[in-house]
Amino acid sequence: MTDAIVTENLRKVYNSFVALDNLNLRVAGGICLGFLGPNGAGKTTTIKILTALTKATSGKAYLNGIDVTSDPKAALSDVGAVVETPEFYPYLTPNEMLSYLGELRGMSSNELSEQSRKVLEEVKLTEWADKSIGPFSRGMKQRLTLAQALLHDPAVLIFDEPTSGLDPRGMHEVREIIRTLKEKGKTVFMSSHLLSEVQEVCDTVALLDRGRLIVYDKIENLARISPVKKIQVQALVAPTEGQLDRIRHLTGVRSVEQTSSQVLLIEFEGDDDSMAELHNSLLALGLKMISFKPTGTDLESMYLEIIAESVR
Amino acid sequence: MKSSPPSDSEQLHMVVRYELLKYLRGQRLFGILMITASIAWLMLALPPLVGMGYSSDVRTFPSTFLNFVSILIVLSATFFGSDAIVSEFQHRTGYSLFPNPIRRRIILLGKYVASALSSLLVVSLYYIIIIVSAQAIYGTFPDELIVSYYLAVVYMLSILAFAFLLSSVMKGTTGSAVLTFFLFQMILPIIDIVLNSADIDPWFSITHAGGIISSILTMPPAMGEARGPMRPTGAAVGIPYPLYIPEVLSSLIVMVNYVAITLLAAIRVFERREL
Repeated sequence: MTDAIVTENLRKVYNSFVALDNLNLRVAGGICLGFLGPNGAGKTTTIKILTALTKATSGKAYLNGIDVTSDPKAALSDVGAVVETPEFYPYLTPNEMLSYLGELRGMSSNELSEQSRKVLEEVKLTEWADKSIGPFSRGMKQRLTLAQALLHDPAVLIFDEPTSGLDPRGMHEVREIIRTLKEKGKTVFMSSHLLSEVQEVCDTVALLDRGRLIVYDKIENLARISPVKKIQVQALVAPTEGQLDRIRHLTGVRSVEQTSSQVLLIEFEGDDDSMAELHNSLLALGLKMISFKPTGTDLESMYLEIIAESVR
Repeated sequence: MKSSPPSDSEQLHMVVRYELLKYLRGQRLFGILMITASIAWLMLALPPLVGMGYSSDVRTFPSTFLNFVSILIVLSATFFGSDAIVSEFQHRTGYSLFPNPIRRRIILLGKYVASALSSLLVVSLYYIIIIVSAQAIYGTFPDELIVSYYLAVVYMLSILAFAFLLSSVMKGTTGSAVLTFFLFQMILPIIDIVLNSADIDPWFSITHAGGIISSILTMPPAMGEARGPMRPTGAAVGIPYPLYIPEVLSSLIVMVNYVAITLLAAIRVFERREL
C-alpha cells in the first residue's frame, strides 16, 4: 500500500531562515498523526507545502503517491485540508461555498446536496446553512473550514490547529469528528499545540524542532522516553517541615515544591507501581491527603524533555 | 466518494460563475452601471438644460461621449480587476480556495473572464446609449463608432490584464485599486504628454494606443494613419508641441500585446506567490 503522505528531503528556506531542513516523513494510510513542535519549528510550512500553498525550496512531497510539487491538481484530489483559519467569501452562504468547492472537486449536484447537509450537521452549522458568511464569528468559520475539508469524504485529512478559535464544546466536537475519521480508516495529519488533544485522538506523533524531525513514534512508546511525572498533592492540613523533608527523600522523588500551604507539586520519576508506592508512603507519613493527582500528560513530559535536549 | 476533478475548462466556467455572483452580490456591477448611466445622462441632459443644444455635426456629438470611454474602462478595471488576486491573499480566502484540486492559472483566468464580461457590459451599455442617442437626434450615427466600440473592447481587455498583473504583485487591495486607477488615469497619460512634447512617438504606451478609441472619430483619416515625418504638428490641433496620433493597426497590435504579456506575467507571478 502506498504511504498516504511522504516527504523526501523537504527543505524550505525563507531568505536566510531555514524553516524546513531536509524533512523525511512517511505517514502510512489509516493512521492519525499528531504533528508537534514549538513555534517556528516548521509545522505550518510543511502543511502549506503539502497543500500547495507554498513551494518547497528543494525536496519532494507526495500525497497518495502523487508529487504535490509537480502535480498539485491530482495530488490534492483526495485530500481535505484545514490550514490556519481561512476566510470565506462573505457574500456566499455555507451551502453556496460548499457547492463552489464541491463543484471544483467534481462532485455531482446530488452528492453535493447530500454531503453538504451531512457535513454542516456534523459541524453544527445547519441553522446557518443559508445565511451569508460575512458576519460569522471565528469559531463558526472554523466549523465551516472543517465542513469543506470533510465535504468530499477524502482519504487523507490535513489539519493545522483544527480546534483553533473554538469554544470548549466545539473543541470536544472536533475531537469526536477526528475520532470518527480514524475509525473510518482515514489518514489524519494534524498539527496542534494542545498536547492533551493529540494524546487523546492520535496514535502516532512526529515532533519537529527547527525544521528537523526529532521524534517519530507511537505515543505509547514515547511515554517511556520521559518517566518523569508531576503529581499534585493536596492535604487537609499544611505539611510540617519534617514531613516535607522526608517526602523529598522518598524513592523516585526528584523535587518537592509547596505551591500553597496545603498543596505540593512533586516531580517524580517512576512507573505506575512506583507511583502507587509513593501514594502509600505519603499516607504513612501522616499526610492527610484530599487528592493525589498526576498533572500534565505523558506526551507533555516527553515533549518538554525532548525540546529541552534539542535546545541544549 | 472518490470524484475526479473536472477538466480545466469546466473549472474555469465554475470560477467565472462564482466571480460574477460576487460582482452581483457585492453590488459592484450595479454601482458601475449606475456610474455609466449617470455619465451618459449628464452628457445628454446638460446641453439642453444650459440652453446650448447639441452639436449640429453628427461626428462631434459622439466624440464628446468617447472622451469618457477610457475613464469607464479604468473604473471597470479598478472595480473588477484591481483586487481580484490580491484579496485572496490579504483577506485569507486563498486558504479555502487554493488547497483544492484546481490550477492557479485557471483561478486567475476564470476571474479575468468574469471581470472582462462585467466590463464588457459596462462598455456595451455606454456605446448603446451613444448610438441610440445619435440615431434619435440625427437619424444616423458615424460608422467609426462601431470600430471605436471594438477598439474599446480590446483596450478594456488590455487594461484589465494589466490590472490583474498589478493585483498579483501588490500586497493590499487598497494600494492595488489606487495604483490601478492613477496609473491609467494620470501617470501613463502624463508620460505620453511628456514623450509627445519631447518629440518621441509613444506608440508603445497602452494609454496612447487607447487614444484611438476617440481619435478615430475626430482625426481625419490621413492624420490617423500618420506616423513619423507625416505626424501632425501641435500647431495643427492647437497644442504648442508635436502631437503623435495613434493609428488603428499599430494601436490594435500594441493592445493585443499588452493583453498577452501582462496576462502571462500575472499568471506567472500568481503561480509563484506563496500564502
